[in-house]
Amino acid sequence: MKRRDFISILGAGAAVASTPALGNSWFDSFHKNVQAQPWMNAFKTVNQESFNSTAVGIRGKMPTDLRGNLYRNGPARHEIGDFRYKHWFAGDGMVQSYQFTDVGIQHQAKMIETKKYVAERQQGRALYSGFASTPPNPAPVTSPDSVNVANISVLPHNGKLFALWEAGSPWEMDPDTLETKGLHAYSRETRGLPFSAHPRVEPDGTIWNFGYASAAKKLIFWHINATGVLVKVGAVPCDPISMPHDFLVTEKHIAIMISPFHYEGGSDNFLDAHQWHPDQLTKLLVIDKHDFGNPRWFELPAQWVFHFSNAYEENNVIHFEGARAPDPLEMTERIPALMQGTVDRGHGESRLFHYQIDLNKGRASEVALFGPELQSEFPAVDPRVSCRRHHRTVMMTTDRNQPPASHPMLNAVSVYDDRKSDIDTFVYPDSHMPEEHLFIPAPNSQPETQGWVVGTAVNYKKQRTELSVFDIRGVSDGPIYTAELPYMLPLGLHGKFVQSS
Amino acid sequence: MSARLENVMNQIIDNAKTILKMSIVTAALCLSQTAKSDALTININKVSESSGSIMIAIIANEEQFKNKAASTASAIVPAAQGSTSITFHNLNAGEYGVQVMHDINGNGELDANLVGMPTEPWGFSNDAAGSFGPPKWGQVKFKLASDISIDVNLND
Repeated sequence: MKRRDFISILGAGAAVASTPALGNSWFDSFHKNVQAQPWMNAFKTVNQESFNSTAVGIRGKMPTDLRGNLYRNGPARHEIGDFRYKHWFAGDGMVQSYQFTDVGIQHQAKMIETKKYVAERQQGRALYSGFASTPPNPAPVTSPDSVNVANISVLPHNGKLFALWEAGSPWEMDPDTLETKGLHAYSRETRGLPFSAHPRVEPDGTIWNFGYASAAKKLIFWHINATGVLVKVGAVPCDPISMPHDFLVTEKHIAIMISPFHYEGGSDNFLDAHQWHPDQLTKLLVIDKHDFGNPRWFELPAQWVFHFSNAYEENNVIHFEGARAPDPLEMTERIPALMQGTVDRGHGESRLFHYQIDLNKGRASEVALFGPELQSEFPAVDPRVSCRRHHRTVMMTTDRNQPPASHPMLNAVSVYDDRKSDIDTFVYPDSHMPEEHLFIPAPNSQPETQGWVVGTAVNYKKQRTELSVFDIRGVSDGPIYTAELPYMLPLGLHGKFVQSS
Repeated sequence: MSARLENVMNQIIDNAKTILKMSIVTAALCLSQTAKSDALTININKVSESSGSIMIAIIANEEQFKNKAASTASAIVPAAQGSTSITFHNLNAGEYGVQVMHDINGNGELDANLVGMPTEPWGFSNDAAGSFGPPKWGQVKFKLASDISIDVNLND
C-alpha cells in the first residue's frame, strides 16, 4: 500500500483557502451588494434544514403522462455564522424532489447530513477547508469524505437515490423522505474512491463513472450493473492530471478530457493547487469500455469543458458535443466574484462544440456549432439514447445578440437538433435565472420524438423558485405548465427525473 | 507530512506483522521493564465490526513515531464491535503515543483502495489527526506518570 498517496489525496480531495479573513470579506461584500443587485438572492444561504410544500401559482396543464419525481441537488448553505464561502461549489448540498402527481407538484428539500454538515451544525461554526476557502481555526481533514459536501448532482438507481460530489463517495438518501442514510460503498475495497457527479447511465440501467485522484495522478473508472452491483473498478495513470468534471461513454469506449489546468500542488487550496497552461494541449484519453484497457491519447488545443452532452460511435469515430470554454476562468475568477457580487453582468464563454475522435486516423478534431454570440451550458439528451447516437440536445443558453438580462447567468433554454440548422429557444423573463433543464421522454414514444423539457428557475425578483414544462417539439412556444414554490431556493446544479412506471 | 504518516502506518503494519509471526495474540501484554512501572489501559472505540484484529503499537519518542526505531510495545487483540480494551503493564513513566489499526479481514495489513487510501480504520492517541497529512508527535504524545486509561477513537 502506498500511504504517501493516501496522505496526498487528503490534500487533494479537500481544499483549503488562503486566509481566514477572506471568508469574512466575502460575507461583508455579499450582504452589502445584494441590496443593489437582487439577482444575488439566488446565491443567498439556506439556514433551515428542510422545506416542504405544495406548489402554487399553477399556469397551464400538467401532461397526464408526465408523472414521477424530479430530483435536484446543489450547494445551499453558503454561510455559517458570518463565514461565507468564496465559491459557489463549496456550499453544503441540499437535495430536492418535485413530485409530479395528479393534483400538482409536491416539493420537498432537505440539507444532506454529511459528516461535515453534522459536525459543523454541532459546533455552530465552519470547521473545514472547502473548495476554495478556509474558516478560522480549521479542524483536520482526515479523508476526502470528511469534507464531502454531496452538492453537485443526484443518481437515482434501482430504487435508491444517491447525492453526488466528485472527489469522494456517493451519499445514499431515502428517495421518499430525502433523509440521509449514509456514505455508500460499492465494496469494502472501493471505500472512499472518487465517484464523479456525472455518471453515464445506459438505457438498461448500467452505470459507468469515473473519478480523479489528483495527488495520486490516477483516473478511476467504474462499471456498475443495473442492480447496483460493482462489476469492475480500475485505475489509469494520468500525469499531469486536471479536475475533469464530466466524461463520455459510447457503445465501445470511454473518453475523458484532461485540460491543461494541471494539479501541481504547492497550495493548501485545492483550486489554487491547479495551474492553467494556455500554451499546452488538452489531452483526450480513450480506453476500451469492457476492461478499461488499451489507453490511447489524443490532442486538442487548450480549453476547458465542464459538461458534455452524450457520445456515440460511427465507423470507429467517436462523436460528442461539449460546452467548450477557452479557459477555466469562469471557475477560477468569475464565480468567486459572483459570490460576493462584484461581477458585472458579463457572460461566461462556453459554447457548444462538436468533437470527433477518429480511432482509425489517431486524431481528434473540434468544430464550433454556433458563433460566439450563443453561450451554452448544461447540455442534456433523451436518456433513452444515452451512450448511443443522439440528435437532440437540450441546453441552457444566452444569445448575446439579444438585450442582456439583468443577472449574470444564462437566461434561456434551447433545443438543438443536429438535423436542423436552427435552434429552438425560449428566453425566460428578466426576473428569472433558469437552472438545468432535462429531456423527459413521453412514455411509449420513439426516442427523441416526443416528450418534455422540464426545468426550474429562480425568480429572484419575486423570491420564488418555479418549475416549467415545455413540449420538446416547441420550447419557443413557452411552457405548457408552470408551478411556483412558496419560497426561493438557492441556484442549484444538476438533477435527474425518475418517471413513474 | 505525507512521508510521516506513511512511516507511522508502516510501523503499525510492521509491528503487527512481527507479532503475527510470533503468534502472540493476547488481550493483555506484559512487558518486562526496569525501574518503576505503570499500567496503560487503552480503550479503543468506534470499532465498526467484530471481525479481524485490532493492532496496537506503543511508541515512546519521535524517533519511533517517525519509524526510525522499533516501537516500545505492541499487541494484537481480537476485534469486538463497539469498544475493545487492552492494558499494557510495566511501562516506565514517561511520554508515550499510541497507534491503532483495525485489520478487519485479518490479512495482517492495513488495506488500501486504488489510490492508496486506507479502507480499514485507524487512530492515534489524543485522537490526533493531521490536516492533509499525519498528526505531529506533539499531538499524539501524552504523559504516563501513574496507571492511566486513555481512549482512541478509530477513524472510519
